[in-house]
Amino acid sequence: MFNYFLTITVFFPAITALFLLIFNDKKRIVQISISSSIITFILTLFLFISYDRDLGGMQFIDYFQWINSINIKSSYLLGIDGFSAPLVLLTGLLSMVAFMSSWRMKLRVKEYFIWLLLLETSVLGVFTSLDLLLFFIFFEFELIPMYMLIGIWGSGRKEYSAIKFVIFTLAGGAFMLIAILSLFASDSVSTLAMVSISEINLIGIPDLIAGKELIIPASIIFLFFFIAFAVKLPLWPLHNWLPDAHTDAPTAVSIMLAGVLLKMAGYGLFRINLGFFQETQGFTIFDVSGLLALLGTISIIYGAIITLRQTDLKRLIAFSSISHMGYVLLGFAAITSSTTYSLYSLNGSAMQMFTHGTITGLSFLTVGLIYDRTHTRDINKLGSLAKKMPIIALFFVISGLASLGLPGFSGFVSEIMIFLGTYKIYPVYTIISAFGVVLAAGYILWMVQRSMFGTNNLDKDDSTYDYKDLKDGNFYDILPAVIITIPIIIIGIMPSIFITFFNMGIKEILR
Amino acid sequence: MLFQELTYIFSPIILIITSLVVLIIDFFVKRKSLLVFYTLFGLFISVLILIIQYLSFESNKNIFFETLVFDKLYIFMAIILLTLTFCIILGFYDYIVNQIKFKSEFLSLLILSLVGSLVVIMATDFITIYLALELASLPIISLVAFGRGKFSLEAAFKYLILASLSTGIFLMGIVYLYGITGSLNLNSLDILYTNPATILGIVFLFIGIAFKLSIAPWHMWTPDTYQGSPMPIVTYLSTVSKLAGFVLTIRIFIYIFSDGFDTRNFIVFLSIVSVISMTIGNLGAILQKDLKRLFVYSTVAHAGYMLVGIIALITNTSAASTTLFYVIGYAITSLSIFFCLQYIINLTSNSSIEGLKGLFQAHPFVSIIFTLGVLSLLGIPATVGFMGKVLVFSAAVDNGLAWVAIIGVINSFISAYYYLGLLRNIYISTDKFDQKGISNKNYILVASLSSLLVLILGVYPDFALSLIDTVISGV
Repeated sequence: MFNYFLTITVFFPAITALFLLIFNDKKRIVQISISSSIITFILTLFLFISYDRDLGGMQFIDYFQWINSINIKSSYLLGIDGFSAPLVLLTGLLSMVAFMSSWRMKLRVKEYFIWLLLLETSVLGVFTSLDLLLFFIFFEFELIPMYMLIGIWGSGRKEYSAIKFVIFTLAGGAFMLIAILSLFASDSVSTLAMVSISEINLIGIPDLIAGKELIIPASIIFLFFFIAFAVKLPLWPLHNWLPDAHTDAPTAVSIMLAGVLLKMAGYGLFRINLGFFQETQGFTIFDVSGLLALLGTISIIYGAIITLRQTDLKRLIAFSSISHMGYVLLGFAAITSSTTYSLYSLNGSAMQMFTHGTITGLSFLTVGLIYDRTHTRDINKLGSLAKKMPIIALFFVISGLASLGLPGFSGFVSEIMIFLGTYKIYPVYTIISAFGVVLAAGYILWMVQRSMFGTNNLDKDDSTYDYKDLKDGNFYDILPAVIITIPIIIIGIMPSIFITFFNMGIKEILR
Repeated sequence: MLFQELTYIFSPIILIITSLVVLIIDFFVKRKSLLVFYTLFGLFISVLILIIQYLSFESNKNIFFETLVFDKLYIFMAIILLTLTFCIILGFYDYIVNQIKFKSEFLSLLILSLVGSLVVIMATDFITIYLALELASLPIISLVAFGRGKFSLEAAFKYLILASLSTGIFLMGIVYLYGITGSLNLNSLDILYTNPATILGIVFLFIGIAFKLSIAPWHMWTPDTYQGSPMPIVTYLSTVSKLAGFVLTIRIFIYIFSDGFDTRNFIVFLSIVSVISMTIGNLGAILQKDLKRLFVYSTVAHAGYMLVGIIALITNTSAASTTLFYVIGYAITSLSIFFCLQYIINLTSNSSIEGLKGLFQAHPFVSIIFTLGVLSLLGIPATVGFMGKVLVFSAAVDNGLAWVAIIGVINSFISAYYYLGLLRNIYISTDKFDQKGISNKNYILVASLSSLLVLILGVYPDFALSLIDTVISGV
């Protein structure tokens, strides 16, 4: 009954993009794109709900042979498991929010929505494809839409940021391609499926390479995959592109970038670096888990310290993303051997991806609304905005509090889970990382206090806005913020909905 | 028996007749555009014959005292070469009618060169190969001089001198191989053992072909010649000539290596050449300000990638099909690229990269077609360029040449810089498009068809791959 349901979900935005080509009316284009994103969200929600939790494993599988050459055998293989289902839902949700937040778009509307729709398809493809080559294709395909979206609709040094983003990601992709090719060149590997699926008699790479000799040492293949994902995560010292890309991207793209694109890296770490390298010969992921924890800790602290110095709202949130994605790696590192690991941490790490997606999405959304009104993102020039736009301020404060890990919001849940697990394994790193939370409280409260409350800086001559004329968001501005706040609060109160999913998925990835 | 063998080379014969009759009817017709249609008709008939031959193909035949071979590879590639030439003449109809002074000579020489290419891909005897290569490249020299720019004569002369030099080197290679093996025929020529003379022979042979394929460091003629040539000839050189050259290389390399020959040193040599070619091509392209020259250097870089596939096929002949797929994909992509270039050059009346600014706002359709071509050259997923690169690099890794593949991937990442520079000018730049002329829509027709093919082959390459596999396995 659900044959090709997943395929339809993944390609629905792309088909809408094709459909848009025949329209010229700007208003109609906006309507069609937003409704398409809502339909995609409903489709992803349906996938999430109808995923059979008692059965587990890969579901909604779409499979056929795709490339059958001597040098590469690849299949079109889509499916979701407990680990990817929430991320697919996250993509649907954040894309919808991103589309809704673009309803004011005036400049080259048709192109804008076409690129955004293609971006959505490629992200959905990354989370659902179970064939390495297909995964790589979706992973790389997102570059061109991002390049255009940042380059055309961005602000500031947009061309520089766009090309920087592309070059960093392409470099990472180059490493990943080599890793994929050398995996396939190994004698024991005859298919590029990322998981074994018994229903269609498919044996995936994790089973194929277990205990076998590879053509290139497993450690190098691991490293290549890791570099590709570390660029995307982004991990110190490969984080350089992120602040620029975020700062100069339009609001919707920032939401997509922070909300879902960074999660592709986390997903890849779990699915590939953890999934493949547990029983490989000569080298396993357990050999380097300490190093991963160190890198995660450095990212957390480095990101937080840099964030403290930022005065641009978007740049501030971008750097805080580096810090927050560091938690993902720290939690991920809580796997020291096939028997000693902490499900708490791994679940927390996966949860952190989801919660960071929603929280940062809300942050960028509200910053975008503020920027629309004040035309500045400089904290020194803002102030006392809460008086003039209380509703936007409310959501901005919610995003800030959730981001610093206030109990009751989703950020707290994931962080506490990560620390609970890693404390037993890496007490020193955990204690150091916990300071990241303190620093987060520092920069976020400072940001909220200076921009939303305090004195208004109207008196300053270089003010770009008229304080008196500031208006609060209307219904269309606030609706996406409300939508995205719902999961933040639900997870804060009832995290078990998602944890059961992640737990199931991670247990299957662990062999 | 010889008379019967003529049926196997029926389509080259028809092409020769076409090229002669074009010259004759030039005296009788007033409307010179009829010449173009007549040539197209001749090409069409020969393609039909080839298709019939392909469908009724039974087994490989060595014909004309084993100097030619009639196999699936020949028929398949001949169909592609003829179709490409058909597209070039059809697409550049406007150019040929309005900008070429001596139309019948132009068409006749082009068809003669094509006949040369057809013989190149079916020849199995070194003397025949040599003659066919000459037949393919001599008409090109005069065709290059057909351009009206100030560089045309210089370009033609450069091509003349370097083409002669390269054939000389090629002959030198043949001499060495003949001295060692006592045979000029690929079928009976087996290099049974390794000695300096055989290696020298093969290297000379390769260098002779490398000139034609514009593989660095033997690419020096390419930028100037391409810049000075009329656009149809540039397109012809980078699609038909290149394909024929690569098929020849594939055929020679499949035939001559036997188990007794130690190919390791030769493989190292080729790997170094391929790395040099990629790097010089990409670094050269970054520096260019002229569109035509940029794509010339990108051609050099792509020749380097294709060479990776050639290297892989020395150890494992099955890699030939991936190489062929890549070369065909590249030919289709450059067909689309050069048609778009001609269209854009007509609009801007110069070929600088700056001229692309604001193109999308003014001419969205051509921008999209051009972008697809550029993305395919860059190797972005869902295009044939990506598939080709993945297949070729995977063949390389498969055969223990991971380091070449790594350098190849790094190179294709460097190339992003200048390809995206083009896209930045087209899409992102806010400058207004500076339109100085008008352009015929004909150019876009072929370009859009071939970019459709770029997408189809990029998304679903399996059909083409299995076709090429059967074709190669027949050799």
